[in-house]
Amino acid sequence: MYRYVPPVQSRTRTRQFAFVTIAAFALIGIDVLSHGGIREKLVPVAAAVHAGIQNTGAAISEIGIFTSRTSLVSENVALREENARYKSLALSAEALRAENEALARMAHLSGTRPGVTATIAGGESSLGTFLVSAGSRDGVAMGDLVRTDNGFVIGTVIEVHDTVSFCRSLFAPNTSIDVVINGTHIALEGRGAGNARGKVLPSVAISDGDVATAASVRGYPIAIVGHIDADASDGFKEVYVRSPADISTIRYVYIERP
Amino acid sequence: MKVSRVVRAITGMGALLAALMGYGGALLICILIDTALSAWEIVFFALLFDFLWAAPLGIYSLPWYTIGTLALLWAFEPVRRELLS
Repeated sequence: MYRYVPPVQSRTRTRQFAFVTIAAFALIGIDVLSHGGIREKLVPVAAAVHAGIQNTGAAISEIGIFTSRTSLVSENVALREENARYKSLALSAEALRAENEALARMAHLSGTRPGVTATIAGGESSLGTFLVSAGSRDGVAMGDLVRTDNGFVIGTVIEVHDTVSFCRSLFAPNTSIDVVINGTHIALEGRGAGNARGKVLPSVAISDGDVATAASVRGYPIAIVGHIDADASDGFKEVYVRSPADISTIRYVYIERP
Repeated sequence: MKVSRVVRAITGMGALLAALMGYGGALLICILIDTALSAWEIVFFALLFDFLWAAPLGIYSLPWYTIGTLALLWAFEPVRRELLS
């Protein structure tokens, strides 16, 4: 009678499989009976492996090996955002530099005339009034002059409170002020927003860029000639002047005491 | 060194990593390769996977990867003996 006899290698393998099978079920049984005793020891190992692989992956990503197109696109977006941020910082730095220069000029003003530096607390109204952040506590009084960092007078204080003061623009609408431009006395009519106009004889020599000063504000400059209209129908030249400082854009002013 | 031993070592490491990381698909591929090579250690990697990832899902009573691996080892042993020996 023929009887199959497996080779030695196969018999060894069968014994190995039997051992492995018994061992596997034994481990499962031990874990069940110990209420997860084996698993409790394996979970920290798996967590450590997870953390190690994640750190390795992050390190490889930082080095740039295996850089894919997707990662390059995301990197490009991140760099663009960073570039925009730096541009914003540069603009902020430029604004701070301009502010610093303005304050330095204010400091020069305070060294020559008594007064106090204040900020514009509100833009010019349609009536030509504006608010500054300095009041009686700072020594501000009615009639004080409001000067810009370049020395031009833009208004006078008309009402003083404890911490703020109301001022009126020299070129408030429906106001007039006598000025001197290139040695010629001219009555200017305020038109608001730092603009004014006046009339002179055609023979008067006035050109663009001439500075207007006013005796009512101690002879300080108050405006610059911006345009001259020599074709007026009434035989006069029309002179348009403007304040070099726009109240709605400047931040610091110097409140000068008389 | 036989090629089968190299493959067995590589798939063994892959199976260990897949079991620890919970990559069931990768582990299944390793199981198929190792059972073809009669690599009995794959059973323990399947058991590790069941311990770590199947038990928390509440299906510990049925460790499918371990059972499947043992079934492959035992069921295909005659085929391996005829074709691969």
